[in-house]
Amino acid sequence: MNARYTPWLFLMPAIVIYGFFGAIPILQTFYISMTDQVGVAGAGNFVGLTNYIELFQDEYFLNSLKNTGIWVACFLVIPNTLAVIIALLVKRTFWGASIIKTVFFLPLALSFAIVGVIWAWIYEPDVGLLDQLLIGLGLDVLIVEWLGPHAGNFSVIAAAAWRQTAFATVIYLAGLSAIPQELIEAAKVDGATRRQVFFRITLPLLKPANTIAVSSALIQALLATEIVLTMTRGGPFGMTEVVGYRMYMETFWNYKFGYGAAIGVVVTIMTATMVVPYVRRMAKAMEREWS
Amino acid sequence: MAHVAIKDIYKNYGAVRALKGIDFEINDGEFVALVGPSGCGKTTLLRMIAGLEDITGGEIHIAGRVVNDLQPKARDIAMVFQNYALYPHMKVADNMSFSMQLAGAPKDEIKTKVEEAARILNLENYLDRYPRELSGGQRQRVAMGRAIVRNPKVFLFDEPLSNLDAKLRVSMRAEIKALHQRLGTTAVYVTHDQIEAMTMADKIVVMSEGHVEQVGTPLELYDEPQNLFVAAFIGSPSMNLMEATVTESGLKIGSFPEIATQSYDWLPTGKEIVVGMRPYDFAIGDTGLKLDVSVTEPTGVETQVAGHIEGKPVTCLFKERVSGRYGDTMHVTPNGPLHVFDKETGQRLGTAFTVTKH
Amino acid sequence: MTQIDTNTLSASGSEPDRGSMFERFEEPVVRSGQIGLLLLLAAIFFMPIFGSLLTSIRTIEDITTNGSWALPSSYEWENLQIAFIKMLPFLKASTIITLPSVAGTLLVATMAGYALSRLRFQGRLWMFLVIVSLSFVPIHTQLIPVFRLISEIGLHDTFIAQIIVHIMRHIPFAVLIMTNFFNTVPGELREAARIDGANEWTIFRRVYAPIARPAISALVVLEFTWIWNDLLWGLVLTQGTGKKPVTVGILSFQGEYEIAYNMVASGAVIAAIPTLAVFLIFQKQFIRGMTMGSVKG
Repeated sequence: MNARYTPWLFLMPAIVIYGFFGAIPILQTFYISMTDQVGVAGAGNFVGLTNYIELFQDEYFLNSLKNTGIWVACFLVIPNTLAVIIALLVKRTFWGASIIKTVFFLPLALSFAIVGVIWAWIYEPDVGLLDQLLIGLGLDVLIVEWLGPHAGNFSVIAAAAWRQTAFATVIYLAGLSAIPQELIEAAKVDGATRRQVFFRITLPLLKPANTIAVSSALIQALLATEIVLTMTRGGPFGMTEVVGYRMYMETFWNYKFGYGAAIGVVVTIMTATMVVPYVRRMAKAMEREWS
Repeated sequence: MAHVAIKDIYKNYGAVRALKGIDFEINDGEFVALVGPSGCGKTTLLRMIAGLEDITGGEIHIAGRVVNDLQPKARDIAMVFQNYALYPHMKVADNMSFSMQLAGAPKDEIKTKVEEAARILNLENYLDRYPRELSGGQRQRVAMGRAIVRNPKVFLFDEPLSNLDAKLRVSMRAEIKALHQRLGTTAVYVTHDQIEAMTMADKIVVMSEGHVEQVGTPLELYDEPQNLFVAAFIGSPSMNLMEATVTESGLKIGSFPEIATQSYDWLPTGKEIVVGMRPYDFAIGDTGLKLDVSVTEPTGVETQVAGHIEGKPVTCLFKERVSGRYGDTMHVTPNGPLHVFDKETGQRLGTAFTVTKH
Repeated sequence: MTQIDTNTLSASGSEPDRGSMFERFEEPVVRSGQIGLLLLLAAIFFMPIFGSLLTSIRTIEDITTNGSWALPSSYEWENLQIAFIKMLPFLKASTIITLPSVAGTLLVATMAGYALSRLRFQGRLWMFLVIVSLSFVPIHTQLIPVFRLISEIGLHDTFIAQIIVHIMRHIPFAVLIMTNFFNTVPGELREAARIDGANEWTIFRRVYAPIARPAISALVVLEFTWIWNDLLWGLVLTQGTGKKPVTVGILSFQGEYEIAYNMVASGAVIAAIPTLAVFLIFQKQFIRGMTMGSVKG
């Protein structure tokens, strides 16, 4: 019927561009991670798993790995919980709902560079917006060195969570409006209290939205490079470094391409394990669609 | 206008055999309905005529030309889809003239043709609208307009009325039939609704499980169904089918006395048969087959009685107003033609008649 | 039934047992509490943006004497003006990078999505799964070899390098979205068009691409924001000021002014305006794009 090669003609631009500039580099990263390449020039010597062995004895890397772990844990909880609450509250408002919604969505339009710059100013000691706010509220005791060695990682996470919450709110609001009103009404007719309606109807039906919000949070937490770059540059003393940032530093500041690639591979593997369930679900859905 | 020949058509989807040797002809200007239960292959066959499905084996001829390897556009056909398949981003006029635009027809010719089709279909006031601004019936007409504008050799309809509500379906049925009679174009019409097929078609092709059960005019199918499948499929309510034995004096159904029957001497005594009786062909009496009533449905003109004879479901229609509720019994006697089928093969053996007692 | 009529505020329409009586009494209290909480959350959420806007139009002396949250003693629009002039080359570069990247991504992805969704061919599911998986590939997996490749073919510090790399990075996600969208378009349209005499390219260009407008517009808004907001590629693939996007610009701006918070905030405001404007104008498309099966943020 349609010529056998027609579909491939439609796919060709995507395949050529991605193949040359995306797919081949993915494979190369794996190879480079097993060389001692320094800088762009030359290919470096094959060193096997040396970079990886070194990596897991590298204090800086292990610290960044710990920080990434904290990122993941915080990102799983904070943006999701906040977003569900916000979504439920916004859903029930009838006046000014669209303005309120826009306020909650707005951070999505900002780059991590800008989020970093804004929040760096918020966390600025003494004159910063947060310290000044706490002083104004008489809560001086709460003030700490926000971007210092102890609170730093959490402060950066809070800034990123601000943006992530915006994303999750969008997703949960969409999830909420996808729940048929009849179901809620039927539950009420069946004698469910508002609490029961929430826990036995609404929450279970938010599962798909939850899957999306959680996957996104995981990926963002694992990468988290740009915001660290703009807010703290990993400091002080590398206390706010995450693995993605470590990779950037080793590669583009220390020019240890082989070593950086090894970190890149670790990041890739961590991401891959997180998204496997999602890809599986997509595969099943498509098979149904196309059968 | 064209003659269409379907010659020994096969269709396999991998190991699944969807069509198993289809053979029939459609005369020039004829309106042919392909009818059968879902999954019988009727839509597949239509799509093969259209050129939307590959042909595994056999030949399809349109106007004397083998079209197996022709692209749909080269077959000079037009198709009306079940969901209309109107281009949602084009206005009605563009929907109807898309094929002409693609063929590079001059603008004024397109305009004339579209206006002509719109006039035929009462769509003149809707040419500037988008499909979403139309009712279901109007969309249906646009889909037909798109077919008419092309002035094709063959119209193909794929269950075009199944998305309309019951009332609209009846009026569109008449419209399509009138349109066909006016244009005189050969038409192939797929439907699972046997009433649609009966009322519209010059010729019906009954299909089941990938083969043709019977080809004939609506009344041929009604009066002389060739097998049990067609017998059960054509007619509404369906023909009642009961197992029976041939005796010296008639046909014996279950434990009841024989039904006095004439002109059945071609049936050997003792033969096991299935006898078919149309719901209209019963009379109420004091004796006869005992009918255990399930429900009676009066419509005013007639009364439909559903129940069981010998545990087999039976439907009867009476001109009289009879009443009865669940648990009642009444006695009925067949008084019309008895369709006799071979119990083993399911093939038609012939027609017998009851002896009228009046 | 009269219970419901006389008390339309009540969310519960069941018989007046203790539970629902309690709920009815509770309702206005709970509701005002909810609205209060919502407004509080909104205020906290808006604080960073409001604070930046406020800071951007004040003087340093004003901030240090009156505190960071005081209303400006004088409106220093000049801050924004200076920031704008300083940021202009970066804004220009970002525009030159982003627009072709978005157009390229959309063109390539719409074609590929059409093929994956509507054409049957060997390896289709496999291809789709590869694309889904690729949409999750972190930038870190490609950063080093792409940097090396771009340097080797002499495209370092060019717009074209950034454009190609952005298109590459955004192909998987955009293809995924377009495939999902085309899956919702009835396949009969393609068949109707074939019968009407259209070839595959005509079907794509005149039937499916126009129908895909809602998906395309949503993707345009999303991709514009994402590509405009990219930082890492801008850092890695450029050298001189002329080719650096505005995200990199704001960093050097921050470095230049350091504790001149009003200027840093002005820079942030100027840099944020394009995406904020796009977001506010096309919020509907943006949200639609986000919810079309997206897992990115």
